[in-house]
Amino acid sequence: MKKCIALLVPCLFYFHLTFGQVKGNNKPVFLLTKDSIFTSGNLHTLAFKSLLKETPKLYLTNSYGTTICPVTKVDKFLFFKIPKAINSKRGLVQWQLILNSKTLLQARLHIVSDTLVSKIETYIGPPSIIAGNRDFSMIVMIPTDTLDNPVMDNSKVVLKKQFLNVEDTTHLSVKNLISYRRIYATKKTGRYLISSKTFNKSSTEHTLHVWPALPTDFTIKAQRNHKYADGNQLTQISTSIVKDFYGNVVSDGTFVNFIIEDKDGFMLSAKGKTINGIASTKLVHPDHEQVWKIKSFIQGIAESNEITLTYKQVVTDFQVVFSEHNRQITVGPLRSFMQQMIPDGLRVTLDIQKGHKTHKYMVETSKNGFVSFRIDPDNYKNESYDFTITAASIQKTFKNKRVW
Amino acid sequence: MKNKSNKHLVIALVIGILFHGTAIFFTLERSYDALIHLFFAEHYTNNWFEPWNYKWYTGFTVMSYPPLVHQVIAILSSLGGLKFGLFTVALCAIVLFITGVYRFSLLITSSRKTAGYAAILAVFSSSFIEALHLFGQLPSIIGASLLLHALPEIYCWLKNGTSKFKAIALMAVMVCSHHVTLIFGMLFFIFPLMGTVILDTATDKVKEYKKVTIRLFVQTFLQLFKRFVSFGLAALVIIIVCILPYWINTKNNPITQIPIPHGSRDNFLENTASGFIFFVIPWGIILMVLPYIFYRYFSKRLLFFGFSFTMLILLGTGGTTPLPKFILGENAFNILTLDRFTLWASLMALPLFGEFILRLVEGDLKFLMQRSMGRIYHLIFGGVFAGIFIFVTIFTLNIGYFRPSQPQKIKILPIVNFLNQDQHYKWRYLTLGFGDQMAWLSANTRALSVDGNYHSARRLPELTTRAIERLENSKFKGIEGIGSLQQFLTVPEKYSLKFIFSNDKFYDPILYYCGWQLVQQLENGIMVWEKLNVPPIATLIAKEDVAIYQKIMWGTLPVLSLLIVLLLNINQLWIRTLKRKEKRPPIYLYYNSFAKEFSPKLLKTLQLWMLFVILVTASGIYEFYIKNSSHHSPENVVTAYYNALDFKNYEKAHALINPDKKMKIAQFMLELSVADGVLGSYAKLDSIAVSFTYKNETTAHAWVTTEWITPLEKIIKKTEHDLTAKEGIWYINMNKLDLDLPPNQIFSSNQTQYYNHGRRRVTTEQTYHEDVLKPPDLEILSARLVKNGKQYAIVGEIQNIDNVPADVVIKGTLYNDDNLELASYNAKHSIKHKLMPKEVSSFKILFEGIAWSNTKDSIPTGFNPNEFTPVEFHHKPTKFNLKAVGSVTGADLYKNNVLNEVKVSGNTLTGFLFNNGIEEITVPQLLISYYNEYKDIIWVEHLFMEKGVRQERKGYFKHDLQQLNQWVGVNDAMENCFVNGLPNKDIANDVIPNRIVHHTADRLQCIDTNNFAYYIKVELNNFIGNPK
Repeated sequence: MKKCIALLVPCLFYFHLTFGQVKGNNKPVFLLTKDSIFTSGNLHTLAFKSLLKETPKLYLTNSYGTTICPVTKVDKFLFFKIPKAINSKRGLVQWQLILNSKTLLQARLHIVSDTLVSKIETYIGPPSIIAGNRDFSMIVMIPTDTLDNPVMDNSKVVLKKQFLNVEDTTHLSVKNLISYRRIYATKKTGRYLISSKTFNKSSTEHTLHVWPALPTDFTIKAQRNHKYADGNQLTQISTSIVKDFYGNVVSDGTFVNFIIEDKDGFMLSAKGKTINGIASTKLVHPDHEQVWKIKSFIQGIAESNEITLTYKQVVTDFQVVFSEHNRQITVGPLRSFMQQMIPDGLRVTLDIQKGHKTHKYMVETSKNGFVSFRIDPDNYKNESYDFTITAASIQKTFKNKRVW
Repeated sequence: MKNKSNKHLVIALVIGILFHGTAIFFTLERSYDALIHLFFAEHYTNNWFEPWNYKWYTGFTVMSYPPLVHQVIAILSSLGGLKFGLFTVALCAIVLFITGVYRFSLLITSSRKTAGYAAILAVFSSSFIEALHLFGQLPSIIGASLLLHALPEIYCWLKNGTSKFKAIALMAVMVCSHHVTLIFGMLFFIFPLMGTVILDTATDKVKEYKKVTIRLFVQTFLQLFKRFVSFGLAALVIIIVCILPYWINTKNNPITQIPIPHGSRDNFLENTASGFIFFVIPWGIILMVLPYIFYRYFSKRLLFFGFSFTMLILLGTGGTTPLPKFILGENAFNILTLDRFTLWASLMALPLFGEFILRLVEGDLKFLMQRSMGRIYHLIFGGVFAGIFIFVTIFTLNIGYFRPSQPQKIKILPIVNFLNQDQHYKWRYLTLGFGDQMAWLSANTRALSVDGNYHSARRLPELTTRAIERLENSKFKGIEGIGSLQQFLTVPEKYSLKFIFSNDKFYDPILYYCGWQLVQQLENGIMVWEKLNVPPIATLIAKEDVAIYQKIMWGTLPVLSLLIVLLLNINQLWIRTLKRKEKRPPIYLYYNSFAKEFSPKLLKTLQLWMLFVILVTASGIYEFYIKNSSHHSPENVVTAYYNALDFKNYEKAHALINPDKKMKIAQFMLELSVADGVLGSYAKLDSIAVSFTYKNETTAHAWVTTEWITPLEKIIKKTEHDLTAKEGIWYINMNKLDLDLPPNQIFSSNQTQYYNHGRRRVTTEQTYHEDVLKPPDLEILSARLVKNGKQYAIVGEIQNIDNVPADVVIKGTLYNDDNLELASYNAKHSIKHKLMPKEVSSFKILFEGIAWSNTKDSIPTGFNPNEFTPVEFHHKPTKFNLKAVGSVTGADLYKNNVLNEVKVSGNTLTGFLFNNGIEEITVPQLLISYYNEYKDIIWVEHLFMEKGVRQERKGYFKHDLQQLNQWVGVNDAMENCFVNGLPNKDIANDVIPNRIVHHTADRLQCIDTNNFAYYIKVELNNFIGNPK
């Protein structure tokens, strides 16, 4: 029995709410306001006639919240002022007239949006897409009335796009508060400018970037002043214009990794960032005979052909002069390919050995084609040492040289 | 006794206010603590009853410091601002101190004239000057002054039960200003005072101190016992009740942090700088008359003061002898700063110092001297004594000028404006290189900082487990400081830390390599760095609330006690000033122990002692000279040369170069400027050791081992130098330079550069929809959990697969088999944080624990360069996840670096970098990834090059490769890798559906060892310190 009542009461309540219109003028309180559908912002007061001594309270609920309305009593008439927070929002409003915790009357009102559109809210995202036929962005347009309520379904929205030479117009209608459209990527890169319009209101201009798709294979070429291994001049390696599958130049800054394998199997590397599709880098010439096999990669995506560069030895021989009790070692002249002195900075190493163990390893750089080493008397007593001098991969060894 | 104003006291007050009042405007703001007190005061101006402060340490309670001084500044600040409050309180402290010394001296010496002399000397007391002008310890000074004021009242109470209320009220104010003073004051001042009271009372019975026997002493003690107990109980109640919230807070949040080293705990003989600051300076001239003070304090009436004085001196010597540690116990020794004992000892010495000067100037000592050694001697003695006294005073006052303790004054307005701009206060900030001025900044902005300047209140375990007082000056704390800073820089999102204000270029490389980028330079020269991808502070931040009764007590009791003291004294002040009533002199004036003639024996001892002090000082100065005379010995010339380089004093360094080489200063500067880089521009010389392979009268060959603290790591360098002596003056011979000649005089370079507007419209809207960029797509190419013993790491490779450059933050989390989260950390140095479109970077995430949090005892004494505390895992990590987030960036994208002439022999990798662009690479970094025989990534390490690489030049490197076999792969399942919140796999399939997989494995450098073959790849990362 209790269960039955528990079920029955909510049901009755529901029926009462749904069908229980305010009837008869013989009741102590009744609603004077006739309409039950209002345009947003138009429901200002609810008027009642009341024969009661006490003043009941009007309890209002919409999807945003609940409130009690201020009342003005004139003779037997009650005027409840509907707050702006309630009357400006589109949707269902439920009211109850309450006196001493008892509901005297209750009903529902509908507030609909104004037909006049005041602005059109537009969202587009993501703001950039990749060229091709897979990626897309979506634009969402919400025309709203003066009180920021989305307009009623089936209102018309016009979407306009411009991309390169093409301008087009699409007609959409509002459904479930919004209108939307997917915008698919084009095969060309560029920027979409998008706007929307409904009735006489227009949105601002929106931008959608179409970025290039993935790079495809490309070629590289080298440019150098001469083919000599002078350890000083630069070789420039550049790519061809790197393009994507649709022929768009890849976006600026695309990272290209140049890997160089030398004749001994060691891997060197250089980096380039594209600008207008071309990435380039500069390598300093080796200081000895060398063969470089160069290939470049956009890792996991594209690669270039492999090119081979050969560098010819320039320093073919040099003299070593011992002086000042063999404590001063002068290396040079170090001559380049036209017999000119090699540009400053060629590294010459001196390995001083005593009994097959390196006693000291010295590195000097050339100046005006010469390098000098000084064997200081503090560290090297009157003894014999082995001296090995290396410059441009040429090694010269002087065994059992005595310093004193 | 006539009741008239003491002219000496009046003079002391006038001079004191004039002298200190003028000086504080130049010294107080640069002192260590004054601005911290100002910050606390600012807290009370806005939240009188709310003890929680959000601004420092992600929140702390001000109930951790007695409030009165701060509250008074806060009240005064409503009249003329915070600094007005500070200076007014400082002036009050000066007056309180001088009058306090006067009253205390009166109590000790029972002579108004002596007390007047002591008051004048107190004005120039070096310990007071140091505490006020150098340390800015206002509460401590006020506490000590109040103690001196309270002692006569306590004497009267103990002696004959008067002045109870005054004594109680004074003690209440004292405890509210500085509780430590009262607690130790009980021990070192009030206990001996009790002894004196007993002796005085006993003397009443037998008329002479000599006749007081132990028996009589005990009898008198028992007679006074009740009064002593009632006093003791009252004091105890006051100490507990007045700052009850403080005690509750101390109990709830006991100081469990690692002790912070303090100079006052050093061995002063080893660390002479500490000895100078914490012993010689505060003692000053009193050091010369110590025997007299001992002699007087060990006279019968003051015997107990003698014991206490000896103890204070002993405790003030810090770690010089093991005694203080033994007496205080390990714990108290490490928490207390021991300089306060010296301060109290010097205060205790002041009355007798006054007495000595009085006797020297117009008393029996003068006549004794004139009689035995003549008038001239007395005059010269007095002159020299006064000269030293004046010198010490001036030197102490201006010590901040000789050894600046703070950086130049920073205009904080631009920073405050920056924080208010664009809602930057919604993130936490950190200052670097501000010194104590960071407290002033905090007081002036509503933004919050992760750092703070009151280390006892630190809460984050990252801070409390390390002995660094602030992150802000971490460079002075060596690698340990840098290590602590790194934790904050690597995982800033944990603390909502987004902005760093840097006043020190030193930190630039570490900021860069932790993934921060430079935003702008403010008009005051401060650099602003930011980290992308840090969420703002939550709107509601947790705090530790306390009961309302505590808040009310804290807000009312201290000020109330102050009001009571003022009320109690105003009456007396009125009488004293206007002399309206004949006033009975206080009881202690009847006990005078100053009766004996100055004995010639004492004078002799004193003179011998003075001679000894002067000799020790002179030898110290000579030692100092010899150590610092650059040309004096080969060691000196090398040390001086490196010190000059360290401080960028190139002219001095040039003067040490062998003049025979005829190098002009311009050439010298040119050659030095070549050597930019982490060592040239960002290193701080930590230690230098010189050894000689050869040395005779005229030449020497030195091996110099220098240790440099850099923001990134510790660098140890061994350099050779030839030295030559010319006519006994030693010089250093310049080493040869790299003479490499670049091929081009002028060259061009085309660059793709980026600029991100951030916000195109002028709006305060937080996310203006149209301006929000899509986060760049990234792809995690490989990832693997590896382990080496107990240490775990995640290594892998990540690629920017978008069309714009990306800032990459990558966070790894470890789990066990039961999916229990074990640890989480971000990639630190071993990653390129900024990636161009399609660029790949290897990365490594090490799981760093909070250092030494578990084993308190195992704190290393020396700092290890690669100090690293792996997380201690209680479970075995078996799985991991990775979260990578990209943000569009336009900064730090210099890639013009070529890896050249690579050679591997054995396990040594050599080669050089060639910079082919137009920027100088200040700190180049090599990222070396290791692959196993199947070409799977197994380890990543980095190498910072010491020297920078200039445009079109080469920078040589040499590196020993790691032994790979220690690293074992644990898991390489990549299901739990996410990019921008989406599964890595989905993004990868979407953006690069047909990836050429073999590219990764192609062209790796094969390393063939005897046992097995493995592969490496070298990537380059470049920090540009001075962009063109």
